[in-house]
Amino acid sequence: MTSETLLTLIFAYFALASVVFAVLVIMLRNPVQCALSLVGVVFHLAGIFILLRAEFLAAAHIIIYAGAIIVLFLFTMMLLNIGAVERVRQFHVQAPLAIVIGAILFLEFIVLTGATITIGAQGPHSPAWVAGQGGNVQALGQVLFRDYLLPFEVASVLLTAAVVGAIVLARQRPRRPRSSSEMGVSEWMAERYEKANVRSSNRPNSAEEIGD
Amino acid sequence: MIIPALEYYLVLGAALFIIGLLGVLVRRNLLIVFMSIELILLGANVTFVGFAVALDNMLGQAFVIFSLTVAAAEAAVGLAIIVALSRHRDTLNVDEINTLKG
Repeated sequence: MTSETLLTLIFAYFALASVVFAVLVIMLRNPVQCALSLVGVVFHLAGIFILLRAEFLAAAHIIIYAGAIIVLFLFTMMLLNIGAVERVRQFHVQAPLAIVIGAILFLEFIVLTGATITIGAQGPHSPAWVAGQGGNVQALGQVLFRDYLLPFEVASVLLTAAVVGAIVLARQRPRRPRSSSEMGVSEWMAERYEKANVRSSNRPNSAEEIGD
Repeated sequence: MIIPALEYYLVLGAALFIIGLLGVLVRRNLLIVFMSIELILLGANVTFVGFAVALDNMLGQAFVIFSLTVAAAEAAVGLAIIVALSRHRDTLNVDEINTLKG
């Protein structure tokens, strides 16, 4: 068996497995199982990246997707107590239409890739150049920190904005205490009345339930 | 030169993209819609790396790092929105979330 067929077989395994796991992500009912299938997708795509000799990106995908993003998903499910929503219908009514449109779009993709695409000229970073830098990680570092340093710094601004935004969004908004002098008497009465009502209806054995 | 040919990687990326798109269109659980968006980004990443290696240009691989950054930021903000939403509405069904009112 030549090394070329071997590499093709390995590619076929990783590609098929990632597609199967991706289908599981959108088919399974339980969101926790969906998240674990997403981990499967990411791991097999990391294998694809290693096949392409992009070792750094393979490691980065496992660390960031499986290690950070999907753990974030699982934490959110824990916070929200997801089990309760499992019973409802999972798919939209227009699902068959969406599948037909998706199949057409996929066929279109395949026709386009089968057509002769004129791809651009070969870039400067040949395998020999990458080997001269000492490997994929060093080569990527050279490109990222020499030629694309400004976009890299802008990405850090984006991450900071995302962190601040996430904290602001998920924070329990504190009830602004309104002093009674700010609101009119009728409003104050209404609020008092509402509070009293809530309190009595929340109590399990309130007077009207026990009484005759 | 990459083995197998570039077209295989492009078809894989397209397949992941379409599956993610179907997930966004078909599912009613907001969390799984978000996971489908991650699938779409993964399909784009495969295409980026495939072209980067086929064209001997590292920019494609550098761009995947930015794509990862955007995916992480999107997940953080999106899940924060989901948490805030489930506090207000007590549902994650996208059919019932039909108003922008908080």
